Amino acid sequence: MNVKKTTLILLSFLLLSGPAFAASKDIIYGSESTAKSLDPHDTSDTYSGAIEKTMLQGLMGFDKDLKVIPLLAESYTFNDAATEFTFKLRKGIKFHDGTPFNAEAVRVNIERLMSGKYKRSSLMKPVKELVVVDDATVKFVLKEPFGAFINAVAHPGSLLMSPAAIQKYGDDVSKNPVGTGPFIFVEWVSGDYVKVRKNPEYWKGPVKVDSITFRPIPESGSRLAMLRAGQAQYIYPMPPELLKVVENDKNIDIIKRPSIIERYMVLNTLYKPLSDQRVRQAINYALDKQAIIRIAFGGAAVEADSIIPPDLQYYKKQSVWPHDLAKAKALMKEAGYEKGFNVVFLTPNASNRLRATEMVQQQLKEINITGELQSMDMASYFNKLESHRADDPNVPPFIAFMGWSASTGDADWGIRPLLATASFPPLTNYGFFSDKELDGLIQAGLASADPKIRQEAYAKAQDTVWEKAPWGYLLVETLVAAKNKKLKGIYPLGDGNFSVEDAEMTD
Amino acid sequence: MLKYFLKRLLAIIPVLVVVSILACGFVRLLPGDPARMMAGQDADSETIENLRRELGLDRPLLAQYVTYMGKVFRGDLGMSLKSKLPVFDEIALRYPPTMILAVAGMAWSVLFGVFFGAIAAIYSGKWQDYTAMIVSVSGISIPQFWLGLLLIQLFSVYLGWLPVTGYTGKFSELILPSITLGATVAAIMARFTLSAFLDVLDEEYISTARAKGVSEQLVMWKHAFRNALIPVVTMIGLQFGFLLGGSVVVEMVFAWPGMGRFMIEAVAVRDYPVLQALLLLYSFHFVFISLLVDMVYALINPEIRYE
Repeated sequence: MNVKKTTLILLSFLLLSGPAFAASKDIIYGSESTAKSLDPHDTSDTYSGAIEKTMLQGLMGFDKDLKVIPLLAESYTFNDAATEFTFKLRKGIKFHDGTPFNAEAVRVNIERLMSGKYKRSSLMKPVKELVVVDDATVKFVLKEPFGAFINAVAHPGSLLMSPAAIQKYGDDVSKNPVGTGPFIFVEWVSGDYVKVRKNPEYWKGPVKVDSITFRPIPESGSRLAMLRAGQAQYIYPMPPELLKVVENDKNIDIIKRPSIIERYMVLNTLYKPLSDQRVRQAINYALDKQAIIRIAFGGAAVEADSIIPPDLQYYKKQSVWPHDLAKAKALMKEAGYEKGFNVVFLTPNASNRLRATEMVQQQLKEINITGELQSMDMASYFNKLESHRADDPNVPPFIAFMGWSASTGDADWGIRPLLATASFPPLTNYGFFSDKELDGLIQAGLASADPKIRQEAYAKAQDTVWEKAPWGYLLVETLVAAKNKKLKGIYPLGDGNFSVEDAEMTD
Repeated sequence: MLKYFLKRLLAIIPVLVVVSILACGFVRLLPGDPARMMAGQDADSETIENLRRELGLDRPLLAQYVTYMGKVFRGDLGMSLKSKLPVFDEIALRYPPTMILAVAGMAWSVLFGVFFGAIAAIYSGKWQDYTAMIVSVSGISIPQFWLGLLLIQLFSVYLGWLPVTGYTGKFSELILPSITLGATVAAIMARFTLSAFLDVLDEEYISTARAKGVSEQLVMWKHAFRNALIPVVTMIGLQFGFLLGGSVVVEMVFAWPGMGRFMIEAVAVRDYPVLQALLLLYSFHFVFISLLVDMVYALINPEIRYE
């Protein structure tokens, strides 16, 4: 083959492939995790839920700031006692298989959830019955007041599927999700990718990309390489330690936004010395949060300024505990622990958590709190923390790394599971924090669905707990995603979900 | 020979039964509760209890084992606790990618490894020896994930010749992962070939051959090389057995949907049925491959006979 001919072929290749590439409306989304299920009622991880949300919708949903908004419901009302919630449904919407969306469809889904068989059945646990009022109205009647119910309805676990599909596939709907969303299910290869294509008859208006393929790229360096080589258009998470690499890349946009993931050190408040509030306050003064954020989290976090993150409903800002060793030492002395004491540091072995806990261990040495560090994998970690019992005198004084993301977006789920007396292990109040005032406020927050009343209860709850320092407060993570400049209208949500409804490839 | 082969094949069964008992017990010795992991961090006790019952994890260990083995003999490996898909299907999805990668990585690591090792032995103490060994020591020393990322940077990001990751059946997608996987194995092969070769060269029959006046080339290739191959073949078998288990690092870096990642994901959530099936499969690989290796001995050295 002569040189001219080769050049000609190469040239025609470039001409042909150039425009074709620009016009491609097939998006590849590079993720860290792998999809585990596509049945929303039986999904317990954020990533699978996020993929489901591209195809399925619920009565309520979240906007990009995690505020609850009506989705398949047009509007809703509730009674003062927070025991009855009535939803007016939108009319004229069809599922991808042509089944009409109506009160009957809601009933089939909610009763499926209420059967108790699924991982998200607990969302509908407060429900006594679902009343179909008419074709476009449903009423949830609760067993007892539950002020956060609207958030349970907005939760990804309450997404609605076509009743015809539920009947046809049974529990195999996890491989055949059929909803009302902007995208239609194409294929799921377990352990590899999930592909969805656009819904040409989407009720909100035209969808601007043809398809999205969700591909797990577990190694963060490879994920970034996919984006840089143009083989992925959006990646999340973008590893913060690699931000420098793409700072000057003209084809790449970095998106940062606050998450609702709070990280803190659980202090075992069951026995001395950690049962002493002064000691716990000393720990908070001794922690250098900024250093931990910089070193263990690559700068992708902000200091925690309440027991719940700012983007959670009913958050109230507190003042950050300053890094003040003098105050910390004074408090230790006042409590009679000037010479310090021994604890066990516990942490999962994921690298940023381990590094953070090592730093905590180092920083607390300054006020003579010392002890060995035990790290283990997630399953062993839960097993350990949840095997502790309040009446067991052998539970050691421990300081344990912990993180929480309240998937309902509401203060109740950011506080109750972690700090209510009723949530002692085997539930997730690992530090056995017990406070009558807080327990009362949690109840008050649930006794009404009136935002004013709830706001007040949770504000007080945050004020009182912040001072009592049941945790060594650390940080709220910042989410970092990266995308191709040509891709618009796609962004991460604070809960680790993402919004792709308005995605668009521009030239 | 065939009779011997079949007899050995049958002997695999009791090995696998013992492995199944150990596997069943070991995976449950790990601290951690699959129901807890499946239910998610914020699950309530009721959800976890329901799940435990549904998965049959509330029954005594012996009962669980008996049910499990009953099903295994009927060809049913159970359901993955995590995905609720049949374990057999899940493995069938990931077996071909791992197999393809293992064969490709092995093929060229044997080619280069044995070649470099033999060169180093033949030219022992000369520059060829040093060059070959520097290359192979580097191969062992370079961490796989680093090599993988480096190759991606060069060939995918800067040159744009090859895809970063992917498993859609294109040959171009296989090149970088198999090179990365093969590099370590090639280095091991080279080292092993070298030492096996040198051992053989010390043998008396080599001196005898040389004393008889056999040409150096003939000594090397006919007398030394064939005999040196026996331990090398053992090594190839062993390495292949490992590769069939899936290389976690390479599968992570190249997002290759194989068995290594599957295993890691299963351990993370204590997916008992998947772990048990994988342990059985891995044991089968090793027993079966060592049987094949024994057979290959006979082909290389006619003095070895099995009755």
